[in-house]
Amino acid sequence: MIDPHSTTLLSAVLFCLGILGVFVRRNVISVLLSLELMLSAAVLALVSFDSTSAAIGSTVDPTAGQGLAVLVLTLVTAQTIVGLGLLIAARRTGAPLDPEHAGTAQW
Amino acid sequence: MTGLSILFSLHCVVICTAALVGIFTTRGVRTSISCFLLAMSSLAGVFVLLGAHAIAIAQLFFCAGIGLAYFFVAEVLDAAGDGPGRDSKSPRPHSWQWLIIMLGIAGATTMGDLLFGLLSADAPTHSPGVASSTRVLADATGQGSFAAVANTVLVEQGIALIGVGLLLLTALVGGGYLGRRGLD
Repeated sequence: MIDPHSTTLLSAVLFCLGILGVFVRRNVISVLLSLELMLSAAVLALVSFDSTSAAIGSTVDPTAGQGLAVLVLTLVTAQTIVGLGLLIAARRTGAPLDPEHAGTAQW
Repeated sequence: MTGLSILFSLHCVVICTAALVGIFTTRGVRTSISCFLLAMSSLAGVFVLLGAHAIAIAQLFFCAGIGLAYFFVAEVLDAAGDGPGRDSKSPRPHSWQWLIIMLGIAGATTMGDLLFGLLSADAPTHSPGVASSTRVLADATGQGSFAAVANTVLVEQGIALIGVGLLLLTALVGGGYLGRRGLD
């Protein structure tokens, strides 16, 4: 079995890389992808804790972590579709695509 | 160091490198999208190593779906003129090629993990989700033999292997078709 500390560390590193991407990139698509990377890190943590609790014989429902992971994946998909939809709408209305000027957009 | 640990370390290297390249690349947004998608779909391999096959398959199909959406938006923004989808180094877009390459790599690595799980003594135990669902199904149908057969690592990984194989086949067929047609 994989050491749960390793998967938690990987999850934390991925989350930090996602935060770095959000702050470093100016491109809206890359910012959205960085947010997804952060949520994927959360999915990894959930699955890791789930498999760990199953391995140590915890009384917690063994399917809870994976169920939550599926829920997070669904939420990430919804977030992606809404974000990309807003991006296309911004393009059509001529609103700025730069995230720093998104607050000044007239919809 | 067991085979499982080595595979996990390799996945960690691939995921972190792809994510770093995706963040810091200056070669256009398509490269960035592909690297991020490669990082996220390589997570499917980690899920397989953790024994969560259902989540691994869900993650692969999730990456394929959002990959389509992102590349579609990049095309739309390119068609509308200069935008975040524009790739200054490449005069013409190659979104489908990127997506198929990403799917092929992710499918192949996940398939490798599944084969490792089938052939190795280090194989992780079956995921609690599948174990629980087969138990519920067996209780509902009153067939103890069903649970005895279905509740094995072999059956579960075999099903997951078929799923990833189909994904890989789709990527290969798509790549072959687009290659013959002369993409872009």
